[in-house]
Amino acid sequence: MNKLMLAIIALVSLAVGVILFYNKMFAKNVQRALHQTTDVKLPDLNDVVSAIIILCILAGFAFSMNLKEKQFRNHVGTCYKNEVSVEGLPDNYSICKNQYDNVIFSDQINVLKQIRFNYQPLMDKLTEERAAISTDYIDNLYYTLRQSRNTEEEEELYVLLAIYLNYFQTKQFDYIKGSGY
Amino acid sequence: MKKSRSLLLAGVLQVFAVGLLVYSLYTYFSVEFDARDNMWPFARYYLAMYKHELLFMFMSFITLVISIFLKNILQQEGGRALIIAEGYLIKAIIVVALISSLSAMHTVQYTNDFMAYLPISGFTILGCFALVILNTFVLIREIAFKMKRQIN
Repeated sequence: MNKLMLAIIALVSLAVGVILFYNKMFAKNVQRALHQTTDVKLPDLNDVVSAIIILCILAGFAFSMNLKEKQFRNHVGTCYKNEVSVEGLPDNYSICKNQYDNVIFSDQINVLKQIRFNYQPLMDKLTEERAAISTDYIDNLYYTLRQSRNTEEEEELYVLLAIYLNYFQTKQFDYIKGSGY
Repeated sequence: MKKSRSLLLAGVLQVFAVGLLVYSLYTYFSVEFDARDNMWPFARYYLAMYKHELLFMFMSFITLVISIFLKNILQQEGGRALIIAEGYLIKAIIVVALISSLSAMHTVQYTNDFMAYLPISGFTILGCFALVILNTFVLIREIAFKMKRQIN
């Protein structure tokens, strides 16, 4: 709310500043014209007004798009069942079930960094050795591992990526199913 | 050639126009392409892209402001009309981006399905391409005008 108030105050002061500046410069230009010196070339006032209106619209959109992101994260990221177990998942990841009964990570925003930190050599090896299925790095790894998993580490990575992708679904999805309540 | 404000601003405008073109190409052919190709849920695309969309819109706005400042200081003949055309083009790009983001917000709220998203962000590429060509024309004419005046 504070940010919104600050934005409104900034926009209003910008508009008032432009009006005062144009008033002052108009008087100055009249004086210069009377003394037959070159006047200061200012942007057209109609353009400045339309630019301020466009800035207000963009600020409104920025606010609402940011709000939509927060709403979505609250919608799918809120845990409803905390005691969930998934076969093949390492212990150091905290998971739960959301309102769609999908298994998700409790800390979705930072989990990809953690996965990359722990499995980067395996990820590089898989990307190099197997033929690319998808242009996206994470999708490519997920689809590659869905086809075949030979080691325990690959199985772990597959489960982690599947849970990571579960987060974005707003329906019950069977990427991976956990048990327990 | 003497230092000139109009040339400097036209150059900065050209840099922003090329930046907009590159950015619109990047957003369309990297993430959106991946998202459609891999049938992402729409929310995944939205969370990855909304900040880029906002940045693109604010970059377009800065380009518009530069064109407004350039409008009255261009010295070439008929340059003002060309800059007015550029202004309309930039406003059209902003409107397309706004409609696209409105559609994105609606889709992420209700369906979360990529098929429901209005696929118009590609039009920003065409708009940016036209902007780059138009501004190159303005820049070359301004340089030609300055050189001609220097010779005379």
